[in-house]
Amino acid sequence: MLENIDNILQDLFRLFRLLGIGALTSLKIFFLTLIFSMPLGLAVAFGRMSKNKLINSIVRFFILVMRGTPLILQIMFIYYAPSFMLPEGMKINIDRFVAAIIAFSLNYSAYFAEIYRGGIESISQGQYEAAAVLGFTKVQTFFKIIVPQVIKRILPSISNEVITLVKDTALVTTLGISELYRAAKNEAARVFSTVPLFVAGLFYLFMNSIVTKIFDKIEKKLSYYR
Amino acid sequence: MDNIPMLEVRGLCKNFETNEVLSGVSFNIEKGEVVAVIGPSGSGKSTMLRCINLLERIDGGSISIAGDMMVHTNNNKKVVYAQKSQLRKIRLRLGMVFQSFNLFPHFSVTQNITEAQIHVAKKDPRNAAETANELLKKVGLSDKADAYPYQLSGGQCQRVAIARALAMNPDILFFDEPTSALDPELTAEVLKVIQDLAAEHMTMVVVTHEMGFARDVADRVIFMDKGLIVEEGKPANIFSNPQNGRTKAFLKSIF
Amino acid sequence: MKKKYFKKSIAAIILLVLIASIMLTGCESSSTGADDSWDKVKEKGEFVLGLDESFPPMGFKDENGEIVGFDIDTAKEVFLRLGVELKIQPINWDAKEQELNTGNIDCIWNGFTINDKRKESVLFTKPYLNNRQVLVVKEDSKYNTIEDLEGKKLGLQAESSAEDALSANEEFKSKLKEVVLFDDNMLAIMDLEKGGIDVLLIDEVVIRYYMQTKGTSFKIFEKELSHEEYGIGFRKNDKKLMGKVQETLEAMAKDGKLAEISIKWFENDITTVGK
Repeated sequence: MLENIDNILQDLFRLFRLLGIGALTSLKIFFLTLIFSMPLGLAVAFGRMSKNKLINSIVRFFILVMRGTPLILQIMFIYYAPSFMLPEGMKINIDRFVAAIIAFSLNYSAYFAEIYRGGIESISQGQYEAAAVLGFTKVQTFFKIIVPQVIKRILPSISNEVITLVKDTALVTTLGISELYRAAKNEAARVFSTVPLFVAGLFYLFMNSIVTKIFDKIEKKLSYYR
Repeated sequence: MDNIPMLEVRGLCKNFETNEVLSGVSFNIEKGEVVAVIGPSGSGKSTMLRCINLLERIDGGSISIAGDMMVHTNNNKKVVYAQKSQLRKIRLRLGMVFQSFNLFPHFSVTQNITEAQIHVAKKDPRNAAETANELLKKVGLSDKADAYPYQLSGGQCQRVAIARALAMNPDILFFDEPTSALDPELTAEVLKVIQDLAAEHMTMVVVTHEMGFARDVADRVIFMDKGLIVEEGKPANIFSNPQNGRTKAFLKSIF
Repeated sequence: MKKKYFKKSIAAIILLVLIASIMLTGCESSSTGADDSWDKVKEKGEFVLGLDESFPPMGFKDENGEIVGFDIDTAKEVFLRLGVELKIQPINWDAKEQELNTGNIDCIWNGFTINDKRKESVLFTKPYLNNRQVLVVKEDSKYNTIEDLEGKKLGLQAESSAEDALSANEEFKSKLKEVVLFDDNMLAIMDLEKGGIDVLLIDEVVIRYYMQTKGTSFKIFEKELSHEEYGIGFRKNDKKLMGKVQETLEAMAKDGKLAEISIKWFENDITTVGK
């Protein structure tokens, strides 16, 4: 009886270890995507709000494509496109992981851009005017007056995207990258059991509960005013 | 130095799309004067204030502050604004209080008053804080120093807005219908602050619907209608003995 | 303003469709020159093997996260002999031809069934293993022949050779009550165990491996539904490269190394190289 429990524990430990390694890759994708897409999203938001008709149309098209096509297709497109579009001699193969990060960053930047824009446009004109007559420069106004207010407003929407990102990391399996989902699928195939998939679900849940907690904390910190 | 008017506006024109909102407004403001601007809605009063405070671009005319040109129209009918650096300096001499207060909700009352001092006027934070304290005392809100705008009443917010504008030590203070958004019982506290400032000879231009205030506090009243100054003069004259037919009609409609 | 945006979207969609169609037609390897496939690999000193690492016993991830399997052991030996480093690259099975044609992998070696359709886009070695698509039922089941399965539920893995085998047997298929498709062989086996399906159509190598590792017993029908052979898939123009690998396999068959690997995984030598 004890031997059985010992075996089960050993198996469980091994499972957690395997899934843990996969989860680390998922986290790598998660953090790299956030690091690139959040600032890029701001640039895209400005492009979208630009009065220049050329910039505006290009950016609107970009946002349309990024939000309007499945991320999984975008990942494949970025990975395979160079091989197909460049002439035979110029074969440049992008590294799988790099292709994935590029696709994720572009895709999420479009979503963040629209969230930022919604937040920025919801700030009343009066705030800009009051800052202007007090002598603040446009840059000062944006970072000291507008951004703090925008952050508070867009926090719930941002948390949506971040939580979705944690789960979207599974899509890189399409390039054969071994992250949490793929590790679970492989283990499930090896032991002919669905337990690894279930445990993977728990891993995702755990990661997202940390994300949720962090956003709750930030929201609380910003609740000093209404 | 006293002969140069504090504010000189000549032939001010402003169009919104096809709508001519200001059709050539001209007037002077002398140092220490308190001028009330009255008139029906759509007469261009607020637009005029916003043009002077660089919140709108004019389409014709000229504006200068204490002799320094802000904007003028050259011989080719082209509107030319002064250099950015010059405009920035002029901006610091003007202060404005808005109808909807426009306080910064994420800053405390004190921070609202010190932010511009520190980051625009480059004052030392301690000096800025001291100034804030004094101004809060002046407007009667010392006990609200650490409160946030959402915790204040409309009248309190507007008084903070006045303190915020005063903190930058403007030469002229503009008020765009300062009490129009307030409940009647809160109007008095704000008008009192403006009255105190008048007693201290602060140069002020107040667009308002409060006729009692205009009559009692202003040195001069300007009546505007349909984008033009129709009549101006001492309050006693304007209110008791208006010359122009339209002035008469307007005053009749509100009294 | 609205009309302008509408026109722009149409132009954009047309552009997208153009790009997509260019990609889909796929560039044929147009090298009209000599076949330098083996030379390139030798020069690089590296050969990339592509597989879906969830297909035991051919290629899968073991409990330590290492990729192992019959195909892996064989490949390791082949490239040891050829003096080239073997790189094992997991891929998505649906994308195997893409990965091969874009040069991201050099071969597909994963219990890859040879069939005419695949031969159109891929160059196969000679077969190295026989596999059968067999009908499997629970050990205590009362079904013994194909006729017993009329009006019963059959399960199989989607997009697999099992599905192809069933389609080739129209008469049998039409007599079934229902055909249930599973994402994974593992899910299909589990459903058989709990009685969700009455019979399973699956690779013989997979079910035998399952029985060996799990200790569960199933009844496997004597007569198979189809018979297939596993081969290694290369790019159509990589004849020299394929030839080198074929050569090495035949040498391994001759000196008994191949049989050794087969016995390790299947208890018997079931390879067909050189036979």
